[in-house]
Amino acid sequence: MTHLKRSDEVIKASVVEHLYWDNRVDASSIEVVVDDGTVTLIGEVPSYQARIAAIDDANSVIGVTSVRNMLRVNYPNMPSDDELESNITSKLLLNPDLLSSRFNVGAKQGWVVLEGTVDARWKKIEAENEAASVRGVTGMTNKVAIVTTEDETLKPIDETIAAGVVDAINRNRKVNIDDVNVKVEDGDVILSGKVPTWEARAAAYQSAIYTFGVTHVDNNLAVTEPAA
Amino acid sequence: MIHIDGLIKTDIVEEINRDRRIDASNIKVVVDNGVATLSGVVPSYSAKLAAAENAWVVNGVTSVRNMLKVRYKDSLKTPSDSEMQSAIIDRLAWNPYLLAHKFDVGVHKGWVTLAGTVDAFWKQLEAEREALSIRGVTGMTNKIAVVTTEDKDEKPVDEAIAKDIMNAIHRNRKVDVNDVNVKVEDGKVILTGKTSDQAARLAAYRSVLYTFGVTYVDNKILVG
Repeated sequence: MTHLKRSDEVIKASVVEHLYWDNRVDASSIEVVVDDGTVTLIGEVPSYQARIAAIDDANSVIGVTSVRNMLRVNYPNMPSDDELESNITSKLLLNPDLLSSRFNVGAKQGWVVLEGTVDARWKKIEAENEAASVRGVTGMTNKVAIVTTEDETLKPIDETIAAGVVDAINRNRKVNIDDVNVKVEDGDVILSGKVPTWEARAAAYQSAIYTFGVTHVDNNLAVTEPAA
Repeated sequence: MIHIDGLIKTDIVEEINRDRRIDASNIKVVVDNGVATLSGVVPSYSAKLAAAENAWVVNGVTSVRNMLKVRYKDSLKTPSDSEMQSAIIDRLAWNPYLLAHKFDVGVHKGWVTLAGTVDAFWKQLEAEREALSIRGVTGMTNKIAVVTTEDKDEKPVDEAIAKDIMNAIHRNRKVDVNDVNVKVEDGKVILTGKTSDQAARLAAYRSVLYTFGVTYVDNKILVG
């Protein structure tokens, strides 16, 4: 797919339409500004989920190169920070994927800080998703640490991790392994190179995060797809 | 095809083995003409869903049949049915998208039944996701009804829904509108066509999912 370069006005109209189309988002209090393909969202949304959905919408519109999110979250009946903390804590406690993990949940005027230790990157994301769908959340800082294993002898070495990531990318139909360089340092994966599409970039990231031993993924892949 | 099915199977097995969310020691994979069937036992419902997700990304897979059974490990304390029920009710009440709706939640030996009414299909799925993310779930019957609006005059006509969907897909850079066909009947949407990759298929699906008036989505888009 190649597109002629779109003017900022056309992009803006398209983003506004997309926000009004999305049933998850109340777009009536969102202002959209576009400058050279960069979209800035300003205003108010009624939940943290809606805030994330709005960024997602802006990001998927043809011609958009990046999104700056300045949306504020304002709930009609804001629960207290204590209530918010205890609701999130009890969600995390019962999640079957987070069983062996311990978390500290702090909230200050709805801004949630997650702390604790998990043994894989996807669990850190799962914990964040659980917290994000609770009424009262206005923002999130995810400080959960990833420790693959306390037992040094069981810890996979970087070469093994790298081989696992490369194999996973190789099996994935959405991305060509020849386009991707994989570097691993103490469990932290760095992806670099040039891929033809955003889908390929996302696929490489997905392949990396679920691999055993991975504690963090830096996705430095560049996309060569014409910026619409 | 037999030769290719063998290669697809190897890829699926490796993909599932690599995935740290899944204990794959009791999963059996069979591939027939691109159709992957997963059977055996996994230790959580989320692992069951993750295994199917993995099978989907492998090159050559045209569809996935998920016959995995869920059995939680004995060593971990599994909540009682009534504990599960009250945890699910709490989760639904805390979710900003769902809190305006009333739900009936039943749990019997880990099998969850959800009932109630929401105004969009994606809310039905969101309620299901909340219920599935707790320990002890072995299966799910989702009987939540989707009623866009009780007011006859406000109910969108199928033509308007179809037009909204096509416009949303047209704006989306992740999917080519020419690859997708949309049919709407009384709010129920059938998606057909062929996309180049799974991401485009997903983007088309989401374009339907979040359109006002949609009460059900049947995604029949093929990849490849």
